[in-house]
Amino acid sequence: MVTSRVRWFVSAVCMCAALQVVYLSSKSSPAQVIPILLLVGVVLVTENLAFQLPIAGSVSLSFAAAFAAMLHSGPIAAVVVAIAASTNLSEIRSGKPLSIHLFNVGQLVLSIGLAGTAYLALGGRALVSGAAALSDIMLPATAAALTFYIANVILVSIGASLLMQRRFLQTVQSLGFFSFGSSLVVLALLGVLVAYLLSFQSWFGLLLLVLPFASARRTFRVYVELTEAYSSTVRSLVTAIEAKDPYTRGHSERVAKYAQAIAEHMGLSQSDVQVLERAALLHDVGKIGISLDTLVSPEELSEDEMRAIRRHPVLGADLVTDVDFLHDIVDVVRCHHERCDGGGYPDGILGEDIPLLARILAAADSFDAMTSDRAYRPGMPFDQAIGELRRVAGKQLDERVVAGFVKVLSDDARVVRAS
Amino acid sequence: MPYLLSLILVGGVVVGWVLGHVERPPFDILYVLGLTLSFAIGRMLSIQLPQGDRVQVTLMVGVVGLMLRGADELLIAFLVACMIDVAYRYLQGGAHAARQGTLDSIRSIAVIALMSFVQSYVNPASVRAPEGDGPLLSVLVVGAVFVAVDVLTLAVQQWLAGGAPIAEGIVLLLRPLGSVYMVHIAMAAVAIRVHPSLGSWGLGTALLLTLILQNSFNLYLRIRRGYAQTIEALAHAAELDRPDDTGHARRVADLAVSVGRQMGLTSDELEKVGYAALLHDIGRIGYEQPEADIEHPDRGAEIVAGIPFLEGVGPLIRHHRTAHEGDAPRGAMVVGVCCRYDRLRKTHGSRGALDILLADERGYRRTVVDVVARTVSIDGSRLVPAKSVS
Repeated sequence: MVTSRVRWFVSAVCMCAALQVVYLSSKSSPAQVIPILLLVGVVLVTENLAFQLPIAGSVSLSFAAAFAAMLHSGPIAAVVVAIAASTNLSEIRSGKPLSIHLFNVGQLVLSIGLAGTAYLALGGRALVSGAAALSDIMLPATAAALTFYIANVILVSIGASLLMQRRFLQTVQSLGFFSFGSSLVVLALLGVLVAYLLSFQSWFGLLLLVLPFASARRTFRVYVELTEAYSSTVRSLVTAIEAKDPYTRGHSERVAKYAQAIAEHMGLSQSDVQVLERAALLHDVGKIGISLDTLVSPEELSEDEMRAIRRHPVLGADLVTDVDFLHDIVDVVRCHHERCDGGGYPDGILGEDIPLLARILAAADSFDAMTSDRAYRPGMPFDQAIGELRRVAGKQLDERVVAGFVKVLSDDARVVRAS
Repeated sequence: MPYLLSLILVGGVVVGWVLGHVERPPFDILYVLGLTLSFAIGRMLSIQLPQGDRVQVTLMVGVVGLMLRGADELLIAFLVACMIDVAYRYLQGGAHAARQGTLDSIRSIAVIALMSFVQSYVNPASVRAPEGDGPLLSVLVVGAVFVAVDVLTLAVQQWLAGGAPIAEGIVLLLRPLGSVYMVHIAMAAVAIRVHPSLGSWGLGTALLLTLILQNSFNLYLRIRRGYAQTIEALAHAAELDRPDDTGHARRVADLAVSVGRQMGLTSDELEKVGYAALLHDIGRIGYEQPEADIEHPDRGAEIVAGIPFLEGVGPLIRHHRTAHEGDAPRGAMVVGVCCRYDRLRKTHGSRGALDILLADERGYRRTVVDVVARTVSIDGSRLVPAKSVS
């Protein structure tokens, strides 16, 4: 939300950035036009194609270009490249408030300007004014990259915490600045290579450096898309497979929602939540082999039928065991019918021996089983089912999980509506 | 047999080594150590191909080492790195992995040594201290030859180990690895260009960037593999409630990919054929009544329509039963005929099934039947390598 505090902050950043530029232009070194134009062209293309480096975080390639411009032609050139980089057409079209655009430009110019000041202060000089050995620019360049990092982290965190009205430290943690830092190191190194190739006027070399990045960019984008679509892919296929039993239709999807909500409430890591979501979607995949009559039978099951049903966690685990991607869910699927008092199947293991994710899945699974209609009985109302959860806590289900689940169910209307 | 071939290669190599190197720069232990480390890191970050094999690409280090210093130190460094790599694999995967690693190391050493022949044709001095961009071209040429030798020997090695024929093996390797090789060659050229000014820092930076870029391709290959395995597992799961059908989708997929390849479908089409065959019955689940059966391809197509990874597979599923010449993708007809063959085979046997299909089918589908007949009679038990869906 753009409050007046945000506007004040943005104005201050832009003012500082402008002062910085004025200061730097008094110390400018002779510049060549072609390298700067080249770098501007590169960032315009990459920014508008939303380049993502194949490492964590989404730092764009433009830092490398701005850094190269600083090393090659001095800080003012870097500022020019940074401005070009932050005028991103698709961003502007996206209809965000003007102050956010101003902030993006201002903080980038200020950060890169401070970096340039540090570079000059420590005796670094532009490569364009004569070839320099790496040892001459090593210290100033390192300091410049560090300055950029610190300035950027502080400015972005303040901006984000004002905008989202959260505490500063919380924002710093949530923005993942560690992976940002490691990307920055790589991009700075890339910038050094670009700067030297520019100073040799090695256009062919530059082309050879840019081409791999362009091709990796495409691959990496597809990778990100496929990664994001993985869970929904599993969901559509599982939904299709579940279609055979009218009474369990949608069951896995609902269980996945409950389980995810519990895990998030219990503060599990992002990757654990993802594993749990996949496990929940696939937890009954071994049930397909059980004949329809057994599954929907209102009568008492025979021993054979019972054995068949009890086999489904193992069968399900076996089905996914060959999928590298689902390696982590095998145990979760296998143990989702274990009970904390050891009375579950297939292995009859106890309490803490059951993986935590499987205990969460078990709670979500029983709750959905209780609240949905079956051939032989209608579904239980929510309140009654919550009471039932409480009753079996510590015996069938894990106490801590149930406590979290009950809290989620009573707090979070979203989860309830999901059913 | 692979050992024999390796021995011959290594023999050829030693001769090449002796004949090949032009001048010998003074031995530099730090350089060799750095090179060893680079090779070892590169080899540990192996790339897993869709077929399941792991390959190591250390081309960039090889080209740079070759061009800057010649083959002597490179071979020593590589040998040590290979030992580290084999030990690492032994710890990770036991004797089998170590054996694979040894075989592959011998091959790679042979490749590097063979390359010293090529290196003697370029002017090393001009490459070591490049004035302009000219020498970059010779780096690219050496890199390209390097790739050619590497891929060829790799394909031969896989063929000897029971893999695809050499020509097909080369295609299967170059398709996923082409971009990785390109990255390596280009970055080798950049490293050599900046080397006079940046020294080992420049080489290290270029290597780091190469490995990061390579990793993005590796991630991409890994997620595609993950999708392929997931779809296969779910296709298998979908058959569990029809014991008569168990394995039907897998068999149809193997047969359809093999037949499609012989009918000249592109590798993109083949991939779609494979997935369409695996999932062609997915719309049947939950609708066992005969009258609903006619619509199952439509339902199946709708199910996969929302899945980005399966773009273009839907139409093949939709048309696999009804497709005739002109009105449907070729892949749909391949899947359709293979599906019919597999079902008829169950009741009528191979011969009987083929007779029915030969009498029934017309046009393009009839041609498919001929290829099916040929494929089945060539190799009745094992139609195609089990991991044909890439």
